[in-house]
Amino acid sequence: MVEFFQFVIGGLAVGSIYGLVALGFVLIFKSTDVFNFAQGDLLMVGAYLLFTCLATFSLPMIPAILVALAMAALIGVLLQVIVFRPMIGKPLLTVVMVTIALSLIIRSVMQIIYGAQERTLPSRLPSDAFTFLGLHISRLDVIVMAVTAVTVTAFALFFRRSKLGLEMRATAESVEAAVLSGIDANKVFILAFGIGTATAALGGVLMGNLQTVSPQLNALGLLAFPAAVLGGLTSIPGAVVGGLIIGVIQQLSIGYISSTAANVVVYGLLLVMLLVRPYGLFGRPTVERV
Amino acid sequence: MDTNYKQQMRLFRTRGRVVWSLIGLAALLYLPSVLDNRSIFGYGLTDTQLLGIGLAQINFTLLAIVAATALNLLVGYTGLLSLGHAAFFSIGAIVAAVLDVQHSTPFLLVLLAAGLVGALVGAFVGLPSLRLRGLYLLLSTFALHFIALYVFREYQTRNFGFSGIAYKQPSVLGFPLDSDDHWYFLLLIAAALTLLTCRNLLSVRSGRSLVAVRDHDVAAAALGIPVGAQRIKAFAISSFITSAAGALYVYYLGNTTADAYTLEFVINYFAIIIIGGMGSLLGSVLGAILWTLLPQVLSTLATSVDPTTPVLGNLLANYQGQMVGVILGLLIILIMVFKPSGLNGLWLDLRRGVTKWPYSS
Amino acid sequence: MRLTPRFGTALTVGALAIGVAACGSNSSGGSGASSGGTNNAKEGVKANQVDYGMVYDQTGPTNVSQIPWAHGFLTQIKKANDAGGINGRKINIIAADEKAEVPTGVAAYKKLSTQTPVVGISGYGSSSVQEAVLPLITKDNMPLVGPQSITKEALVPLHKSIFAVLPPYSDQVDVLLGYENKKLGLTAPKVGIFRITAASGIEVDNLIKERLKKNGGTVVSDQEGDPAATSADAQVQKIVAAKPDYIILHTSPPQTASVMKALQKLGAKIPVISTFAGGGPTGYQAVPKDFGNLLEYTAGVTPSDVSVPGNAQLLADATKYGYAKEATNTAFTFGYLSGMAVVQGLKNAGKTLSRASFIKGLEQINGLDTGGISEPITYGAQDHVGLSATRPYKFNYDTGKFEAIGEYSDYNSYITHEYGG
Repeated sequence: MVEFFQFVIGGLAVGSIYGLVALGFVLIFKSTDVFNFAQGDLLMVGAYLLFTCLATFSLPMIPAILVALAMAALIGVLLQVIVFRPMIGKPLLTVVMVTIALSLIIRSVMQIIYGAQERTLPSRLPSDAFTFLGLHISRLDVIVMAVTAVTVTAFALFFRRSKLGLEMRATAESVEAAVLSGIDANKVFILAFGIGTATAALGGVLMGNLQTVSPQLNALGLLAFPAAVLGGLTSIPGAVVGGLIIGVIQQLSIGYISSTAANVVVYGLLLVMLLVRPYGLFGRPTVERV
Repeated sequence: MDTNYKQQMRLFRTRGRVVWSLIGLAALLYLPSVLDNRSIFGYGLTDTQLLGIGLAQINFTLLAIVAATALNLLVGYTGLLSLGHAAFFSIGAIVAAVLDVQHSTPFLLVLLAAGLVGALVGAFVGLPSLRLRGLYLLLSTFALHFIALYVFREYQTRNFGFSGIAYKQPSVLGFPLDSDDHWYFLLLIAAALTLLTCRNLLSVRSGRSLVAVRDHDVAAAALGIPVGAQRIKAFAISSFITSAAGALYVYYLGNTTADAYTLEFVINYFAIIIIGGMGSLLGSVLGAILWTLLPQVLSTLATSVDPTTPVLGNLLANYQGQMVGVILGLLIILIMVFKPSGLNGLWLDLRRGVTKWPYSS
Repeated sequence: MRLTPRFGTALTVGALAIGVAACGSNSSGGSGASSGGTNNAKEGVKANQVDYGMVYDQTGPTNVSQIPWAHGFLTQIKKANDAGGINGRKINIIAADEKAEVPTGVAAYKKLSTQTPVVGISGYGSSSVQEAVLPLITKDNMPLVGPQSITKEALVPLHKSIFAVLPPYSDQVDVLLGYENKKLGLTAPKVGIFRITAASGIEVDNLIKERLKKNGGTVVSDQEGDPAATSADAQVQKIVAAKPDYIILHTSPPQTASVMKALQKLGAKIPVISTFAGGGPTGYQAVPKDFGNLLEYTAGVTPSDVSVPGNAQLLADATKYGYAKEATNTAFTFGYLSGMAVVQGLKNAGKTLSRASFIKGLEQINGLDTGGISEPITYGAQDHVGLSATRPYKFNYDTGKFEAIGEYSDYNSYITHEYGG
């Protein structure tokens, strides 16, 4: 029984990262209708930016994280203005193709700048272990889960209470109606990309601490999509919950069956759930007009 | 101008097209000798002039054309987003392994069997499409991808060990497929057959109903088109072609492992049809040519740059693959921003510009 | 004549054709078969240049280790070219990306064997791609020298043209098991295995199980991990629960780090021994000293911060050619040694260079001194495993450098040479 909960704790920690990436992804998708294939690569960028802040600029950990997130947000804003603003109104799959191409470019450029080998962060967040109710928990796992919880709460408050948040929600519902109400849609799009990229970068920062900084980090982006869909593509807290569920199921599958079966189980369950509830756990059914 | 339905279904709509087709056929038949001897009509060519392309790359391009056409049929013409492409390829590989490597069956029969098994699985996989739409269907086919991979890996480790499945050299009716030249002709026939079949399918009622289902399924149902049945049919036909292509693919390579069927594989084919032009047969061809040959061409151009050139030379020598990636990515973004309908759209614009000159806008 | 659209098109096509033809007016085309003598254009050997092929993963999932390998190899080539080339010919590298994908690798091979022919190829470090091109390589007798990891099929049965530079897995597993058993004083150890999901993982797995069956011991837990996974907690939890005497690792450096972190989290102080794949600083930097000291790894090459004359030379060369940042990566050292073997083989082949004479030249390599980076490399007509000697290494947290445990010759008695050599 202890073993089971140990797997669950591990899954929650891993799932928090999936949730963060999925969160940024859903935010961008909901606000700008861009299905961002490059979300995993933005996570990788975040990890490398943290490495540069720590190694080249020699900042202490917390300021380094903040600077890395700010730089990532700036990159997201630039991407929106340069690449995605001309794509407004174009068909969904065309935009998907652009994000695929962007993913290729980001990966290649990162490898040219930093070289292809993996890097270890010069200093890291504390990762010592302690026991709690018979379970072994790493301090870093707790930090990851806490950061994710704080982020989700901050987002919830932002979207519900602040003026900007309301503007973003309005634009997500209908761009035309929002513009007619006097909301600056361009500002909303920029904000969405900036925050979405920063969230991915936050995931990268945490991954760099959990593992290493390598060009293969972008593979995490793959699990963001099912997490987002599981939670319902229109729900931001749903994305995080989806990520947590996938993380837990993955670890339980690895633990009780095998590593190769884990993917099959995750996607199999996802398939079953979609057949039963096609809009995800928290999604609202969209009414289509004929 | 077409005055009746029969005229519209004709393969060659104008006499000019017959001429161009014959010229094209002649060029295609002469191509292997150009690439093998690296000379055209006796005039020698350097590797850079031939853009670093050899018959092997052309063969891969032909296979890609077959698979891309099948995917375009499903995604472009019927509007069903499916990530199961790699899974169907792997089904073709397994059927070939079971039938030929383990039990020795004639080559053509293996291809047929691979196609049929693929069609069956495809029809089954098509069932969720009756209830799921768009992105949700995408994920259910994604599940198929992992399930098929798992089955393949188990089959491979149990029967062939970790080094992969080795396929025997096939022969068609006594004609051994032992060189790139022989494979070229077989694959050329396969690509031509696929394109012809799809073109004919799409110009008759049942094919057009697929497009109707894509554009507006409620209206299509109102017109009496059995939407569910048509979707399953699209899945079945597309999977038949894809699995047969998968079998061809492993015979050509001579060897395969479960690791070959990655998500990247699927995304590559999506990229091909999006760049080429969704819902267009010419688009499948152009997209396949661009996606498979352009990286080779860029690599060749990269190697031909003198390594002692100041900044560029060093970058190209040490990070050749990455530079190719950046250029390819930028090119794709440019195409997508300026012509979302892809290469097919570019071709149509070009053709309109030439035929209607000087009145084309 | 009116400029009708059709005429215009024909004109454009004609102009293009003339343009392409004009582009290469001074080419000798494909019929440049030279008359006898020392050149052999069909195999990439020209008057003052020899073409050599490199096929490695530039942009795929394993490029993290393959690009440093390639740069190590290129260092040797550049060094040879700066010294005036080999027997008057400069080495011209034709590189191709295989992306760890079989079709790309096969297409690259076909290009290098006939379109832009080369006298030999180095690379093909991904086992599945290597397996796929094996039949083509044996059919053409194309030399393949020093891939970063060599599959069993490439060595057994002996192929005339394939040469390994690094110890194959059978030798590594021999030393790994022998050393650890002796260190812990065990004769029938209970072993936990954590391996990568790729083909090499299964190969190592089989090798371990065979040896334990023969010499005594059991595998109490056999886990595999996807290198792209974020953590190894679940697998390590299961291994620890099975209470092994020690754990054998065969996986990538980031996953080695995950495994060590998982051990730290569980507070399990079990000795860990890894193959060369998990070697390098990554695993050690992930955990503090009290857990990092549990990890040791075996390899046939010496990490660059252990001071032997060969390493001083390696670091100097790397800095000279702009690869200083990668010089501490063991993959770089692998490539460096492969390059050394290739250069020596080309030298031995003499003025009459061809694929066949290159193969003979390689087989003549006897006791190639690598300055202490590894044991001397030796080939023979029946021995294409250049190096077998392997020894364990550990990381010293106080000095921040790697240390060798003993000499290479201390462990030769464990090696059974199952794959030859």
